[in-house]
Amino acid sequence: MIYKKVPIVEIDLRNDRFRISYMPHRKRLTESIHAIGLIHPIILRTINSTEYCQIISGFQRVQSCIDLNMKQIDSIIYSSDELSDAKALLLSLHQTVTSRAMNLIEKSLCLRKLSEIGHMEEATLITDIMPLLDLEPGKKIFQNVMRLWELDDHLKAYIVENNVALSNAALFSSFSREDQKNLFDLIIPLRLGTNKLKEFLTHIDEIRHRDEIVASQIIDSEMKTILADQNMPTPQKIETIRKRLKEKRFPALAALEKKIQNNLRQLKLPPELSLSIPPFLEGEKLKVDFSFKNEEELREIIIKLTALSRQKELETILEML
Amino acid sequence: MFKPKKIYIDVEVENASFTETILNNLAGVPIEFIDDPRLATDEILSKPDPIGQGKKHLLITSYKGRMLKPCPGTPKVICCHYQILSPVIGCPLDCTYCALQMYFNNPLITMYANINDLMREMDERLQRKSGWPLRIGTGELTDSLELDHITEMSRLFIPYFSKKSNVLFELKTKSNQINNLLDLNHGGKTVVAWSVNPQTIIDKEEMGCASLEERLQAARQCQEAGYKLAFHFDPIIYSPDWEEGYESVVESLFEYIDPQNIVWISLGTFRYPPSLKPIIRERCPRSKIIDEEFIPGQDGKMRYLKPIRVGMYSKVLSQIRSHNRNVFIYLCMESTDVWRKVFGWTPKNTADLARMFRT
Repeated sequence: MIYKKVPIVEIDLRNDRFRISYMPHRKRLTESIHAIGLIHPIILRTINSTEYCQIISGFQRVQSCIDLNMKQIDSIIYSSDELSDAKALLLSLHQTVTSRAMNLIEKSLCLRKLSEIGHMEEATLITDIMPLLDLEPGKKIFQNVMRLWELDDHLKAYIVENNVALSNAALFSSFSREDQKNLFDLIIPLRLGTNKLKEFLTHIDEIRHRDEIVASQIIDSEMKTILADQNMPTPQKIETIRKRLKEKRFPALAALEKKIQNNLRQLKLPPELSLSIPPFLEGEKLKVDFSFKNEEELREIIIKLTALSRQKELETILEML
Repeated sequence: MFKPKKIYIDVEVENASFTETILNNLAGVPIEFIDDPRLATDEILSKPDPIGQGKKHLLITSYKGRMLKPCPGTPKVICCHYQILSPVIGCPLDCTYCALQMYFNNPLITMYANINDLMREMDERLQRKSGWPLRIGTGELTDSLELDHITEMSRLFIPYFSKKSNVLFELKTKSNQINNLLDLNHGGKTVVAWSVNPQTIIDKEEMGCASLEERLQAARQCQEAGYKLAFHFDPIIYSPDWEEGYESVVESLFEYIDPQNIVWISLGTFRYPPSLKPIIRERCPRSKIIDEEFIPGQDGKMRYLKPIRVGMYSKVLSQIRSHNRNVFIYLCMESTDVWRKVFGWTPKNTADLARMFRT
């Protein structure tokens, strides 16, 4: 290992064998190098039978230096004999995790490279590397993270930009490439939060499994029309599509709820009275809420409740429970 | 018949007579003696599909706690005060819907060899009086008969209970392994019970289990040996042709069995804790049973919508009643409103239902 300034022209910039960064934020790094120079030297490895070096760690720093028109860069150089691929990857990983947080796609890339290039055993990756990546060590999570690198590029970018949770990112990877594209077209314009994204993906996943269809058959023309509607605010689009998906996933429940809501409307309850249905219709009792500010109002409510108890629609609702 | 790939023996029980029985019945199976049962569970948990692997490996150890416990039932529903006897936990059968798959910490089929402790515990429990007939079963955390060629538990328990009063011992199974039972003196105190489902469901969701016909043939042999019988339509699984499927089960049941020998029939639609869903999706990706519409019930378990459950119960009930009007039928883990809709009446509570069982 030697330490010296290396001309950037001697670095093979196309060689990204050890790159584990994906969509990093480089602006601040460039500003920092511009202000006070490079603090940490990059790590290089010589390439046998060439005059070039390959980058082990420092892809972003090199690019920033190029942007700043710098001609040479402080480097630690290993010969190819003293640094195996596995060690090189580990060096790169340790450099990264001690300097910044890695996104999910980078974690996926890192695990894959350690497996494919570093020939590291799955058990070692789970027990030794996952904790370094702030991942709970476990086979299921390992498999989920490994699959993320295979996602459609647009989705990978979406996951990074929106800091999508692993549970949701993993749901994406259970879909085919074509379905991933369809999901992307549905989800991007809606800017869904974590919980709603999970609900959307889970419903679509379960419908396609039940009906043995693909996502494009679930995202129907009605949903596409809603998405394309320029006049509808996004929260309303989300709720309308969410309702549509729920109806497709739970058709019997949706029909029953609709029937109950129709009967509730026909009861024409006064504003001071409200009726609640037990969640998911589990239970046999309705709940009445009312408020009053004096005896006279209470007497009026009692008269209205008595009238309510004689309505046919109430009997229909009770029979449905 | 089931034969494990390997037997792990906790050195603490290597000389127990139950261990000897098991080893005599599994001659030739590789054995590993271990100081700590966790060594066995850790080894299985490190393999791909630990649940599937656990079903192929046997652990013989001891259990320090109580092996006879009340069924935990489920809150806000009517239960039946069942007592669970668990000298064996885990099952080689591989039903898609089995809740045992959630026991992550120990996927192995585990047999507790400190049987003397268990018998002492039962003696104590049976001396205490209860306000209803005691029903004790071994079929909640394992299949009562699938491993009987290895454990010979039936030869221990059936004669034991034959001399006891105000108690019924239930062996609940999806197998047809009844050879050990036929020559035993049961004294009318043992109920041999089968879980039943249409053959199409058995083929898809009950891997390794006996066919419906094999179960009913075994039931008929037990009937001929004088045993009381019970049948559990549980889990009743929804499918587009569920009506025809369960009708054919009922038809077959009454072709094989004299209803006078049936002491109870239970009905329970498929329900599951939410944490079972990802396990089913991963282990049984082709299964459709969790694709139906499920809602969280009052007890937190996922259930079919109430009108669907009521419809299924009512139909199976009427199919059974068309053959026999007297056999005792109850719902497993259902709310009073479902009871009322299906039967037109409801037990007031769990104790009330428990009193309805007769010894």
